[in-house]
Amino acid sequence: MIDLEAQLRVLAEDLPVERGEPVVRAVSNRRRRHRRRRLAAIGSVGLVVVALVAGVVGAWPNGTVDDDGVQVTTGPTVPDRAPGWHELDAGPMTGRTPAVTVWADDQLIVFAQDDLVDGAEWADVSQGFSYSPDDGAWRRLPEGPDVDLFPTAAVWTGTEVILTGRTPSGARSGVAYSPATERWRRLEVSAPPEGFTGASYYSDRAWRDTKVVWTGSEVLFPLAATSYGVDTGRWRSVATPPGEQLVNAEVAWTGEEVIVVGRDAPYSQFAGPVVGYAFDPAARTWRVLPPSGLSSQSIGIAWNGAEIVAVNYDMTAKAYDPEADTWRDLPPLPLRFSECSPRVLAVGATTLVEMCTGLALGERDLGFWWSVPGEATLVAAGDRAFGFGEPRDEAAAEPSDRPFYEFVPPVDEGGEITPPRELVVGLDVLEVPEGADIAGHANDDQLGGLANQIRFQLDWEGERCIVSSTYAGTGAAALVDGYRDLDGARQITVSPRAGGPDRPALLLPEGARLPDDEQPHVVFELDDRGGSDVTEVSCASVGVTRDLARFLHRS
Amino acid sequence: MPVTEDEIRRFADRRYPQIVRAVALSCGSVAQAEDAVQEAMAKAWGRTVAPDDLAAWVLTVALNHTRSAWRRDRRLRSTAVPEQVTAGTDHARDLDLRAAVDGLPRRQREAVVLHYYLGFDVRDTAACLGVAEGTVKTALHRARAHLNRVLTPEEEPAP
Repeated sequence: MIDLEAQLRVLAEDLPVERGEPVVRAVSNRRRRHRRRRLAAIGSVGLVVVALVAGVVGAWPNGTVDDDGVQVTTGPTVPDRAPGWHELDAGPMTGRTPAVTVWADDQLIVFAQDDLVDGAEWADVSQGFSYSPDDGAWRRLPEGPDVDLFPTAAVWTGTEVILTGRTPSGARSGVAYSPATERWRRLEVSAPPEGFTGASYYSDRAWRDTKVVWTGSEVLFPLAATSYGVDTGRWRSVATPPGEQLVNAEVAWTGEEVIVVGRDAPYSQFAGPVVGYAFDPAARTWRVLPPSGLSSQSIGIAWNGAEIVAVNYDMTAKAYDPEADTWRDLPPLPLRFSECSPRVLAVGATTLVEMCTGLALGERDLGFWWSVPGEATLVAAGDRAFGFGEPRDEAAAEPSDRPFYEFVPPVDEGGEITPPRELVVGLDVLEVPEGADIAGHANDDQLGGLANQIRFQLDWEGERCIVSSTYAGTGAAALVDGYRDLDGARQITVSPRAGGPDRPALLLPEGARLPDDEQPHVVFELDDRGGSDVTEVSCASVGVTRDLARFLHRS
Repeated sequence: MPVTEDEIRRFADRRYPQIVRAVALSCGSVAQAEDAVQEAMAKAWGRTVAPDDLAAWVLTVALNHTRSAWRRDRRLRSTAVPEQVTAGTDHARDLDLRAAVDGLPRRQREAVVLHYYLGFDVRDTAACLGVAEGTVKTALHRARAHLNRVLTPEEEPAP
């Protein structure tokens, strides 16, 4: 046995570290920089606004005035980085509806919804707030220019948040906000289109103005054939995508090209081929992507740093590699079909797919999906994700509180998938011989068509642990959610939510190294909403939680 | 009461080196650790933090800072230049341990440093890392097993 304390002490004491006055000077300089940023805010906003803000935030929980006089609210000062959902203080967003959110390197900037216009949301630039996960603090942004922008779209350029939209006359316009200086500026107003009445625009065109990317020099609206050059301060036209009637399209920026995937069909039709195009902003040209094989209707896409991940309404998932110009199939999503449009986000090395029935996660290689219950609509924030949940009181006449969350993907820095904490349960181990069946009976009301007995069979085939389901109901059966290799112990999560009855529920990938001294564990999540109905199984033994044992015996 | 300049000075004299070393062992870089700890101290200065909690507060914020920095720039890992060492020396043994600690998953590494180097108990380690105590116990158990396996010399087979 090594003497870890002593050896670590020796190792640490060998590290050269300064102390005393040089450190104080360095810290003092940093503090001065922090103060300058805040003082700039005071200078630009003025005492009147500070007083107004103070009045508004008086009711915020934990509201304080720091030594620079800037009003802040603080939640937990140290974010909990454990995987899973973490509810945070919603601060000044309490009672407000977030309309536009954008991640600005180290803070989430949120503009609240002001009103409903023609049934659509628009953001009010006077209702801007920022959340800093570093210190858990919410701040109110200085009030922006008085301008109506519909529909409001936002991008972060690295120095400014740019909000764009159309004025009531149909002209394009926008405002820019710099978090560093806490100053606003207006963008140029384009000439309004001739004969603009808004009727056709609001019915089938407005969505195109919300599909926006930042290319490094311009704000590009690839579906609206328009761009705004930050350097030139000008709006200008760009070539339209090849698809004449592109609808339900989504856009993503790869760092070199804008990828567009959508349905080429009249707006009024649900059917039509799914097409993909790529726009090179440097060459100002479009190219056509090969057929994806995706079905029509709603599609979500995101760039995960290596591929475009596309998921459509029927939960088929594909990945497009721009370098190879090819699509590949991904495993089907472990979520129940829900007549729901998918949203796809890339958060660090994790791809997240939001459906109405939950959240699916995949590592960058996307060999497996893994699922967790959804709590909120997420905003990709660099390598973090935040979201506001549904109003706590949906029946309230006034906007009700919405819980605010950070979602920490269960992928650590090494790219390994780790389970959510709620799945790590204490076991009341019940030894069952290898190969034994485990029967679970799903709740009728919670798993719908899964009101049949599900049997899981575990068998070894060489180094491969095969878990199969005998579920023969319609629509869903046990399917791989994913696997992880946490701290050397292989654990696999299986959820009876989707898939087919005939195939093995799980195959460890070939070549996967299993620990010599520890059998892999399989987690069966029989009730994805109850939280406690979880059993751990390995090919050598079966462990059942006390709660689940009762649950199983009941059936 | 807000943290004063005097408290920052005392911290810089007494606790700073140990906290930097702990963060350096966790993130693998003294420079990055100094940056993170100084940033945390600047944030603490003027903020209301109980004097007894200042070290833990700074440590936690600094660890969060290094994690964020790591995520922002994953190249940090690949730019590390391995040192040339002579086997059998104290320096070589230190580097063996350093490599073994660096080879631990991040959570295990942080738990080991907090528990074995800073002397945090399991509860404080869990609080600092924002995880359950059971998670810390598991992490420490697995880290110990790994380090023992990697660092314990294999016995010569009997002739």
